[in-house]
Amino acid sequence: MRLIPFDYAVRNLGRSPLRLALSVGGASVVVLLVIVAAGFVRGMELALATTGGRHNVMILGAGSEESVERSEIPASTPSLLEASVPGIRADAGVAYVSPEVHAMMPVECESTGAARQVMMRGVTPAASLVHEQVRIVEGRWPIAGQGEVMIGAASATVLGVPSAALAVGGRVRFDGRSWEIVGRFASPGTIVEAETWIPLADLLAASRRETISCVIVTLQPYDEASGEGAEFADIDAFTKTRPDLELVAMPERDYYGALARFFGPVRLVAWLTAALIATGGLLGGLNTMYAAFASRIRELGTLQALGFRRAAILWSMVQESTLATTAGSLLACAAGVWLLDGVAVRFSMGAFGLVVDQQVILVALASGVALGVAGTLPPAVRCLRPPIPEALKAA
Amino acid sequence: MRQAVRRVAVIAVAICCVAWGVADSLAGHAGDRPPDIAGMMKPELFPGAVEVSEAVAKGKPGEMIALRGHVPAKDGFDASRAIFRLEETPTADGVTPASDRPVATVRLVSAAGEPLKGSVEQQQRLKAGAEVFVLGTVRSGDGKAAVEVDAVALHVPRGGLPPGFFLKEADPAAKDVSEARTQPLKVGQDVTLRGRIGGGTSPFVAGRAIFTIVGRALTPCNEKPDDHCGTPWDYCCDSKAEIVANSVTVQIADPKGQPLRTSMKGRRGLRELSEVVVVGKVTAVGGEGVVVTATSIAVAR
Repeated sequence: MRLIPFDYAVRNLGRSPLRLALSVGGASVVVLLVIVAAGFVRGMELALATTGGRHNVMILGAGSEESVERSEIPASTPSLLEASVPGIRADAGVAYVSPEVHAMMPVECESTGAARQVMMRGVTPAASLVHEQVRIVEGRWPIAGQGEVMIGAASATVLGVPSAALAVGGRVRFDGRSWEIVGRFASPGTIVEAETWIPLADLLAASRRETISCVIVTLQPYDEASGEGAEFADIDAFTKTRPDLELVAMPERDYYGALARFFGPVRLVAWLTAALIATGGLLGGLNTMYAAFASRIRELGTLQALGFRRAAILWSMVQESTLATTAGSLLACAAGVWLLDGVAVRFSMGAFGLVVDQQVILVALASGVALGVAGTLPPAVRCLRPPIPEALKAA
Repeated sequence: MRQAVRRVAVIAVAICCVAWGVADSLAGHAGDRPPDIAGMMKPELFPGAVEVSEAVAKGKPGEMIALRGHVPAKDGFDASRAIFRLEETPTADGVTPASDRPVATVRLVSAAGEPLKGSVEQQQRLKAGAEVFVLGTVRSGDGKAAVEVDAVALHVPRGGLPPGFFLKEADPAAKDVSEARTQPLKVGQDVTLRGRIGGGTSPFVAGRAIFTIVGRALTPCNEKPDDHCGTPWDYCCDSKAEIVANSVTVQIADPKGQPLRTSMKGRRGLRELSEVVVVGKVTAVGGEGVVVTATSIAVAR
């Protein structure tokens, strides 16, 4: 089959600059929306997948496996665990055992008056051992009883205030009193960054509870040769030997992985929205293409009269359209990388950043190409259907 | 000239043949080296693995089978081939002379079904006396005393159960857990308890010889009319306090008192709601919880 030169498709694009601009612009907008949806889904997945240490195990109340905020376990659990399970990581005699309270509380930024629900984590200094991703980037660790808190780097997004409003030295208000921000921490790519950390004793008092939410321990990886270290099964075994404590153990990453599954419907809705928008874009594109190709029926008939087969002409039209949508997709990808990548999004668990990575770009480009092909085929087939004499006589 | 070329060609062919023979012989020698069987090793035991005697009696050639047994203390491994023997694990109350125990001959084969060369003794915890789970195809069997299996996967527990751990017959005088728990149990007390495996959604600990048993005072959800609970062994219709008061945690421990690094689920048909009789000693009483370190177990039902 003799194909129409590629040049023909390229030069056809320039015949109507306005139509070209509309095609490219339309494709850009549709693909940009696909990037937003894909970036949202990817950002949420990555944030939940990377939260939690590789060797960390979370011990929480039986029946609270889906929400640590609901969990209540005896405050004596950390010391029992430390004494009963050999192989918990320790440095300089300090075990990597972090008792914690997780509570969602209304927090107000005093400088702006903005107030929202924020994930509060009551911690002891041992939290800095088990949460290796967390780094204090400014200020210091809060001291118990002094009314001090440490703010995560994404807390400003959660509260909907400028970052400067939560600078070290600033104040937030919760539980009817004012708390000074003495430090800021970062935990890139995780949802921990959206939390506010305060001393465990202070949060116990603020939330009027005597029990803790969970214990997070870091295990020394088990070495079969030396018999040193521990595995998840050791912690699980501990929970079985103390049924009276009503504990359940799960790898910390599994906990956040389960949360990712919990948010599955949200991701589905994001994809569905993007698909609906893309369908709208496609239908709009089809309309434009029908109009554009209808005015070229005589030209298409001439090409057939010159000996080009319908398939060759169809291929040329697909090239022409796909070039425009791919150009639009590339523009959308560039805009996505520059404008959307890392943009923080608030959700019930805190906040995460949109991620525009290779996978998202691939999805975006594939959408652009699909838009070009699917948007061309129906009008092109319709315009190529008339016999040559009829096509040549078309207005 | 032609003759000279022919001679050179003949000599070249001869040299090639000799070189090939040498290489082949070297390759054969290399086959004596231990084969790499790491890929065959599975981290978890094969649930429902049958004892060697059952594999001998029921295994049909060409059938896929999972079996378990112990490598004999003597002459368990072939010196040059990836072949070892598995003996029926004796039960504590059914001692059979070693010579009369059914035997499975296990040949390790590659994914393509080719027998592996070289001894596997001391490879991946395979050693004399080791407890081994085998997944493979029955090659042949006499239906009475021996079976040959081509193994494609193995599991060797890091802490295998001692031979003779399981009892054939359950002690009829065993006390029900609920009954035993009406009196306070003390550390060091010898007990023989009967109970059903359950008390939580996961009564077994994967990778550790620990499980919980519950007494007859509590009824699992599936025995209640119109209850369609998917996990009846968690006794979710009863309060946690009642479950704790009517249950004990059973562990099988090493000499240091640490639970053996092996799973119990799937051994001798053990699963949730299996009724067992545990003979052992109370080794811990913490809060309302009691831990019994078992010396033997019989699967009652």
